[in-house]
Amino acid sequence: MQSHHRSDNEHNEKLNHEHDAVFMMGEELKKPLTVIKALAEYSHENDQSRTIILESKKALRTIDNMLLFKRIDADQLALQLSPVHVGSTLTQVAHDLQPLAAGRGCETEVFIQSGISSVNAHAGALKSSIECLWQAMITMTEKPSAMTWHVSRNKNGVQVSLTNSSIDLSRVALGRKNVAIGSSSQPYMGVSGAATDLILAHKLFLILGGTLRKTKKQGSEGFTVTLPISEQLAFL
Amino acid sequence: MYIVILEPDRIIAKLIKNKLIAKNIKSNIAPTPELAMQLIDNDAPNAVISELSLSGHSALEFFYELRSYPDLQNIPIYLYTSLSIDDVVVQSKDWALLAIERVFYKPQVSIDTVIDGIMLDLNK
Repeated sequence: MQSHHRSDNEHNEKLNHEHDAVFMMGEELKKPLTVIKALAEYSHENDQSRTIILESKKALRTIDNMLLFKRIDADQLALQLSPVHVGSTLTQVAHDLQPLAAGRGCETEVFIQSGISSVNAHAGALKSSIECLWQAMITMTEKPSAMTWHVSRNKNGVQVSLTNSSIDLSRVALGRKNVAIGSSSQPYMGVSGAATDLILAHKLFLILGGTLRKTKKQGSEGFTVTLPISEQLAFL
Repeated sequence: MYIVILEPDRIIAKLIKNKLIAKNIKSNIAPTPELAMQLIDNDAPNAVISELSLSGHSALEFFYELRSYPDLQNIPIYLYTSLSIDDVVVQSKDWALLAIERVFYKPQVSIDTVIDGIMLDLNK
C-alpha cells in the first residue's frame, strides 16, 4: 500500500516537474519571438516585415494556446463554463487570423446561422480551440484556396465546421482521444507542420464537450465539431 | 511629457524609446525596479510603461511601493507585458488597488498601438 502511495506521489511530482518545464519553456520562447515581431513592426513596412509579423504572431498564439491547455490539464485553471456565442468568438478570432490566411493566399468566408444559441463553454478555451483549428488549416494549405466557416444549430448543439476547397486530408487521422502532445513523432500523419495546432484544437474541443471530426462536402474537406448548447438557454 | 520605461529587454526598451523620441516625448529606460524608482524620485513622470515579468521577480512589488507614496499614487501605470493575465486577476480587488491604467499584451500588440493608446489617455 505504502509503495503505491509513494509511486503515486512520485508520479505526481514528475508530472508537476513536466508541467513547470513546459510553462517555463513556453514563456522563454515567447520572449525572442516578441522581440522579432517588435523589430519587424519597427522596420519599414514591406512584404517581408509583414510576413515576419504574421508568422511570429502565429507562433506566439500556438505557444499561448499550448500554455492554456497545459494549465487546464494541470488543474491550474478552473474552467468556469458560461454561455458563449460562437459567432462572436469567431468574429474576434477572424480579426486576428484573416491577415494570416490572406498572406497564404486563402480567402475566408464566415457563415453564422442567425439567432444561433450560445454554447456552454469557457470563453478563453473556445477562442483558443478555434484559433488552433484555423491555424492548423492555414498551415496545411499548400496553395491559394477558399476556406469557409459554418456555424449552425443541429439536434445535438451548435455545429462548427471549417472547410477548404483545395486540401487533401486523407492522411490525417483524428481518432484516439488521448493523444499526448509529443508522445509520438507522427500523431497526425502527414500534417507534421500543423500537428501542434491540430492536436491542441482536438484536445481543447474535447474539454468543451465536442469531438473534432473530419468532414467532406461539395468538393471541400475540413473539420467539424458539435458543441453543447448552454443549459441556461437549452429550452429556447 | 516624460515617461519612465521599466523594461528588462534592451531591444524592446530601445524600440519604445525611439518611438517616443519620434513623438517628441522625453523618456528614460530602467531595466530594474530599483532604477525605475530612482528615476521617478528624481523626476516624477507623466506615466510609466512597465513589463510585469522582470528578471528574478515580478513588477508587482514595485507597483505596490510606487502606490505607497502619496505623491506618486496618481502616476498612470501602463503594462506592456508578455505575460497573459487572466480576466479573473484583472477584475480582482488586489489588482484594483494597483490602479493599473491599461494592460497591453506584447505578443499581439505593437509598440505603436501602446504609445497611441497612452497618448490618447494623457491628452484627454
